[in-house]
Amino acid sequence: MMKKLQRLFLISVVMCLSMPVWAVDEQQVQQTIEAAKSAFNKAVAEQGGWMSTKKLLKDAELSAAKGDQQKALELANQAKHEAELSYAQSTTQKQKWSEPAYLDQ
Amino acid sequence: MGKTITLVVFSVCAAITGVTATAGNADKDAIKEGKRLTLEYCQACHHYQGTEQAGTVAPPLLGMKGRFPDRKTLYNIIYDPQVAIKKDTMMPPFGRNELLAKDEIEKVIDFLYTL
Amino acid sequence: MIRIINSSVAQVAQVTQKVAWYAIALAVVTMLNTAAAGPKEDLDKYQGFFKQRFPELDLAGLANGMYNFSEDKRNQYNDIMEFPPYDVAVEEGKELYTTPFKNGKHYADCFAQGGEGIAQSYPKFDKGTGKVQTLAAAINECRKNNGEAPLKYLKGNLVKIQAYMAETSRGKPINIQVPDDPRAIAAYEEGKRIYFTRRGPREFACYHCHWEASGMRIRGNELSPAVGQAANFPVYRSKWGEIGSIQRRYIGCMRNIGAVPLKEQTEAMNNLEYFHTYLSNGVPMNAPNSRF
Repeated sequence: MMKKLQRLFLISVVMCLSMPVWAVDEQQVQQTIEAAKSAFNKAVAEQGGWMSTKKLLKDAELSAAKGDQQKALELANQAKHEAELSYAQSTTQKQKWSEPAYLDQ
Repeated sequence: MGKTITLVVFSVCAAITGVTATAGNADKDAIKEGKRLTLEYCQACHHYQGTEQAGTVAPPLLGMKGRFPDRKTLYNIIYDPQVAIKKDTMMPPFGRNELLAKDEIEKVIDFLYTL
Repeated sequence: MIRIINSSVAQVAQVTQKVAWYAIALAVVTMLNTAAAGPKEDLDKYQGFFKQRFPELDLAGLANGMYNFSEDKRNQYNDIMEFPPYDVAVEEGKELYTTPFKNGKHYADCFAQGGEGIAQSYPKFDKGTGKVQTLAAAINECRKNNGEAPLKYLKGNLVKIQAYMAETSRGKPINIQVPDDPRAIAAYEEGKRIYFTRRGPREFACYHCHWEASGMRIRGNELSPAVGQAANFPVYRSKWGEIGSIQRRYIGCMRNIGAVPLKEQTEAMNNLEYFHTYLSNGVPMNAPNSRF
């Protein structure tokens, strides 16, 4: 039992460490980067968009070019999520912007 | 047996990825990390003990535990002050726009409670 | 029974009629209110805020921006101004301005009063196009009409020409007109919306820093009041090491707060400049000027 557990432990260590290598394929990364870019452009077209998203996109492309697909995917997903937040911000602001309340006091 | 295998694999993975790694000595480390975060996100506007180049646009941070005995109140302010304080506030929605993760806000509060 | 129903129907009808009258009256009052609140009323309200906030400063004083709030920086500014760093740009601008185009015509032929003392009324609503025209765009239009290639916005020769033109307006009060034309009002309103819109992950709008926080510090930087800013542009910034336009400053400001900046000379950016300059109506031009 002990030996079995030991072996299991080793196997799981190897599995965990090797996960990044087999978990992500390049095509998926490129698709996510493209999706993130189009979400970002949608926000910019609404006079929104955040500079941090621009950086995430650039870093995602750099990681992908260096072959670190796992990292690239993470960054691209983060960029996409941020782009969606910023798009939501710009559309809500178009409805909800206002002068500060203290101007009418 | 299958359950045991899953359990072992899971816990080993968890240990490696650090999910359980923060369990020990949380308070001191949390406060330290919280302070670092405030220097990055808070001191541009707020003055408090330990700031190096504080701004003056927002009220100084002191006696925080006395002023905000309910942790949740402070959490909500940091998360989205447009909801918790007022609609036109200048303070950024650190939580809503994910400038700070939820556990980071908790660490910031851990530090603020020392002021 | 039927009578009772009938009478209650009549009652309901009466009430409905009353409600309708109230609704109409309310709509009329609302319309009158909206009609009353235009650019002029806005300006009274906006400038009133700063008069109340800084009673010791007149309009020209407000235009001194952050140098009102730090003696140390004010002294540094005075030292710099012993030999104004924009002087060279004004000289070069004058040279560019007076040199004839290949067709023998001049910039002066494109503008009223030969282009002298007119910078304080830009940006200007153009009835022909129905859009706001910046001074920068007017300079490039003049070039185009005379068969010359357009110049780059934001910095370089075009801004030097603007600097020279602004120099001939020094001391003249800013005078932005929003004529009673729905297209002009719409341009003004868009500029206003952009000005009060929160942007970037920190959700700052222009007013957060330059109204309620003006005169206070973000880190080590004193924030200038919104009224008066436009009177200083184009400006020589030590940070740039050269002269730059007001839209270049807007772009830098938006980047600082983490927002993707609007693009220069787009309708949105021009409308923002229209609104922001209008805030300074009555402030004597003090451009070009120098800033850190």
